[in-house]
Amino acid sequence: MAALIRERMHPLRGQSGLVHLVGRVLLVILAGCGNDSIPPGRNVVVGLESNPTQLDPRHSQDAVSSQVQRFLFSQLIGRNKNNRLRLELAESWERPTPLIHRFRLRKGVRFHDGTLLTSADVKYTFDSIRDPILASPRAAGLRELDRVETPSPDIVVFYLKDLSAAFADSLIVGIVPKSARSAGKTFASHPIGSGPFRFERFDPDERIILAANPEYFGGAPSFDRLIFRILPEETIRVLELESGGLTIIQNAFSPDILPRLAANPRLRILKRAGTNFTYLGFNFIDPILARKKVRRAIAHAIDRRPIIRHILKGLATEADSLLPREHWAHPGDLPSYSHNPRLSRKLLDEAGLRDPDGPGPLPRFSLVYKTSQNELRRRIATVIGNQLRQVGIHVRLRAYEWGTFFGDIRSGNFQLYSLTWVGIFDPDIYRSIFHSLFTPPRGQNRGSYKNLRVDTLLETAQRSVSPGKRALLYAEVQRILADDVPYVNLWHSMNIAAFDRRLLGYRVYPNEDLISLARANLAAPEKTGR
Amino acid sequence: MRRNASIRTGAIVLVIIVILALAAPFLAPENIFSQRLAEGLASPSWAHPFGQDKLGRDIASRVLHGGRISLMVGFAAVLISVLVGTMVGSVAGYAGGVWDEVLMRVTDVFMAFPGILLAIALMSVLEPRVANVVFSLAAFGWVGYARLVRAQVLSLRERDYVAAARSAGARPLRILTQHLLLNVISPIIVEASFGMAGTIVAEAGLSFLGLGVQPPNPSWGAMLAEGRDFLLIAPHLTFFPGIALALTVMSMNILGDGLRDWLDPAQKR
Amino acid sequence: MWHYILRRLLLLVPVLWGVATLVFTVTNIIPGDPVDIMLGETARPAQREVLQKALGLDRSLPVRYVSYLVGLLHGDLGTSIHQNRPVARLLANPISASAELTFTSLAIALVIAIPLGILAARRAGSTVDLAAGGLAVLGASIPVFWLGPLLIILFSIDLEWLPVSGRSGPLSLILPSLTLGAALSSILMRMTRSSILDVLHQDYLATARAKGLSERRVLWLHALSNAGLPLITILSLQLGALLSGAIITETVFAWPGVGRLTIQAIAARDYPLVQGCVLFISFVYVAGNLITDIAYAWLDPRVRLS
Repeated sequence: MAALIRERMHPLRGQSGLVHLVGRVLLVILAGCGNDSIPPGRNVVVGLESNPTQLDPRHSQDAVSSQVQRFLFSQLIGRNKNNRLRLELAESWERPTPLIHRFRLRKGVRFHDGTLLTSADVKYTFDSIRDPILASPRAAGLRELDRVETPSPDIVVFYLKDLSAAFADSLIVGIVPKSARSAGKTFASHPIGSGPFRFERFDPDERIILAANPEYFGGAPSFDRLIFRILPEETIRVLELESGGLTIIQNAFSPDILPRLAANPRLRILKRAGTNFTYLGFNFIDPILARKKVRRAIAHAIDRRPIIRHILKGLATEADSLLPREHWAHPGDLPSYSHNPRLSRKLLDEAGLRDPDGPGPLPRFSLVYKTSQNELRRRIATVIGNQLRQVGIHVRLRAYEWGTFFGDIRSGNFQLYSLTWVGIFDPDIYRSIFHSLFTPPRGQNRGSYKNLRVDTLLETAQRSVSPGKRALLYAEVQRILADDVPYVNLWHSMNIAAFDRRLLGYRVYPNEDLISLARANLAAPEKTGR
Repeated sequence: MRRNASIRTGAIVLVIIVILALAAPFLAPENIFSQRLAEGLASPSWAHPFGQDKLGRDIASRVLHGGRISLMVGFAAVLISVLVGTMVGSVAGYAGGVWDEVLMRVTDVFMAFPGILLAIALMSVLEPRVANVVFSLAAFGWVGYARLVRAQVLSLRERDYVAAARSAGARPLRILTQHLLLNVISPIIVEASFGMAGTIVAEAGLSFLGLGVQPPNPSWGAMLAEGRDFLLIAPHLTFFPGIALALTVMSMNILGDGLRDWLDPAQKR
Repeated sequence: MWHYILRRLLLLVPVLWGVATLVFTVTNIIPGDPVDIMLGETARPAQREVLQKALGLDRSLPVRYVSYLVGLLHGDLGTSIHQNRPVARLLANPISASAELTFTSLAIALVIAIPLGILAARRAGSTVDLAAGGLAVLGASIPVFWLGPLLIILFSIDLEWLPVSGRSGPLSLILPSLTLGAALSSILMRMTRSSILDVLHQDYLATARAKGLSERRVLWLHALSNAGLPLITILSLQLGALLSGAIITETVFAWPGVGRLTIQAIAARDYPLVQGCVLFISFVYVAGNLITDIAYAWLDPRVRLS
């Protein structure tokens, strides 16, 4: 058996019989077929479960797109592995007044097409985001921006209309060259950035190939190519990881597989608490879900503990708010909706949605629960559906391909859904998610939640700079949200990466960013890679 | 000798399967929906002879219930196919002329869709309810029976006793039902036996692709699809529904073979 | 012969038109309002209008039908909503992948079935024959979506000989083609066996032997040519199963062919792409039937005259 594995590169030697014969014949016939081979060289191969929906950093909203773009585009500033802000394209960052951010850019940074990166490109990036024609989802975060000025090619100044505590986070976006304007829609299919990797090819549903950028200002990557392979099936992803076809998978496998991966001597597992939040979302436009009693009933019908214990294998903690308990803006004493089916039924009865036949099979009403095709999410949805069935709510599960599902959520086309917010840092995220201005399709208030008091609190908190005051404001926001239940809080989960031991220097980021791969090393292989 | 053995074996296995499946609600030891998350993916044990699936549900019970659903769907689809196909085929064969041409072209159009492609296309736009699954399966199944009946009717139309009936003034419908269709029954039964097998596989295929019976309802195809996610750590999710399906199909094929040999020994294998 | 071909070609036209119409009906009339499905009921009128125009839904049904047919004549299969590219272009690579899979499955089926069938015929009644027969029944009864994962468990997971999925060179072609070809090879094997058996029992065998030809030559010359006609019959009957089985096989093995593309298009609610794929597969099937019919007519003159 060992001999067979080692000889995998010359598989037809030593095998007899039909397979040998067929293989020989086919090898001859098919010598030219199959344009799908990966170029040879030292490559790091990442396993993804879906296609990135966008390669233009001004447009992306989902984690996979962000992860891929991060390698193509550099940002003015970014967050490091401990979530601290650090300078990237900027050499220095001054704030002469609270309303002015002044950056001096590094000199000599070039885009992948050779042109110099100057302040004009930075200005173009932010202006185009705010251009209503482009309809970028990031425009909401730049509402306080008045104008961008470029007094010199390496100085860019942001002038704000109003104080904005979380403005820095809105500046974390990949810088695109001003030539993107003339490229129009084709820019996304041939993105040009200044990141550690250059775009080479994107075969949808197959792979994305990025080549190392030797001119990268942060130091050229130590390997030739970064390849993302799109493998929607978990069994295949895991097998590819075990056989060397993939170098690393992060968060793209169910916890059941973990013992098997941990027992594999070729692989290494890294775990780290994540800044993420998984929830069940309601659509307030739906007449049934618009009623608070119904939402609270659903919250009480759900029992998270067995899901966390048995399906997530303990790799998550119950959430009582968007923010984790250790967060500075978390008040620490938020009410939690305990599993209480009896209370749930009582609330539904009070809401006038009686169970027509008591414990019999007829439901009070039925809801469509949309999810992606990810196996773990579907499993969790089935469990939740079953828990809701116990209180008389019939749940129809619909699983869609990721792009379609996410499109539905973004446009508000759903009743119930479950998703995860990734990279939660500043509590100003509450504003993007719950302010009544940011409803679909432009904003991220997917459920069209509207509460004027919350709106006011969020606006005030945004303009305030005192952490103490902000903490008080956000505490009140969280209490109101705990009462209104626009989301059923589910959990905060750990980020888990499984990778080839030969990959050195990889760090798991709390916001799932893969960027540390750019500085990682591939140790010498014991056998030739595929 | 061989023929009788085929019919006997096939029939016996089939009958056993049908009884087990139809009696599923009484036989199945566990509620097919009750989830025991702590025992997810558990291997076969005394309490759960086929093991447990990803949510701890008893696979044996789900296989039984899934069989019930598969058999009922299959039977309903074949029944509809036979009825529709017989009607079309009789009209085409007996009336002839323009009717024949038109109906045969319609048949050709439906036959232009290989296998379950038409069912896939239909289920891609219809709500995944059981009624729609039956409809989609019947939508491509009827063609075979139409052709069969038409051929039979054509060859029997000119026989003496039919001519006699016609000259005696009997109405076409009477002639059809009294004289012709009776002779068509045996080929139809043979065809239906194979058709049933094919329809059950087709339903499982649709469920496997996510277009048929929806979870959490059990269906062999859907269970096989679920099993794929766990091939590495829980192959028993794939074995048992697959064995059940293969056994059912095999017994129907054997039965069909035996019936064909018995009813029409002149036909070459 | 040419008369026959011409006649068949002419008959093809109404059938193709019927197929196109049926597909149009399924993907355009049944689903309800695609704009509702894609945007949900909460969409604002302005949004709906934009999408309606983009999908060409602002025109009436007859107009859409006619432009659809006209487009087909020009090879225009519509534009994919999801990927924003012409469907015909999206089909290019998958077509070669599906062709690779289908032809290889056919080849494997023949390579397995014919020798086995001959063997079973020569040793008729022996345990070898019974075993082969049992194997054939098994092969015909095990559905593709069970056989595939079983083979994956054996050859990819346990033995690690072959890759699990995807199209990555000749090795990755083996399991999918074996899976897809299994049912076909079962049927072919049984047919080969019975054809050979028929020949072995016929009288001219004795005559040929009397003439001094070796038994092997007799077998090859007469038996195989006798089996030729039924072979084509079976192939034409099984072509449909092969094509529709390919859809599922491609899904099981993540083989990037037209079948898998169809299923992905359905999961993405990309109706134009679904329509294009279904049309393409049907047209291939119709063409395949035509070819086998012509081959049949060429080999058996009686067919031409009917």
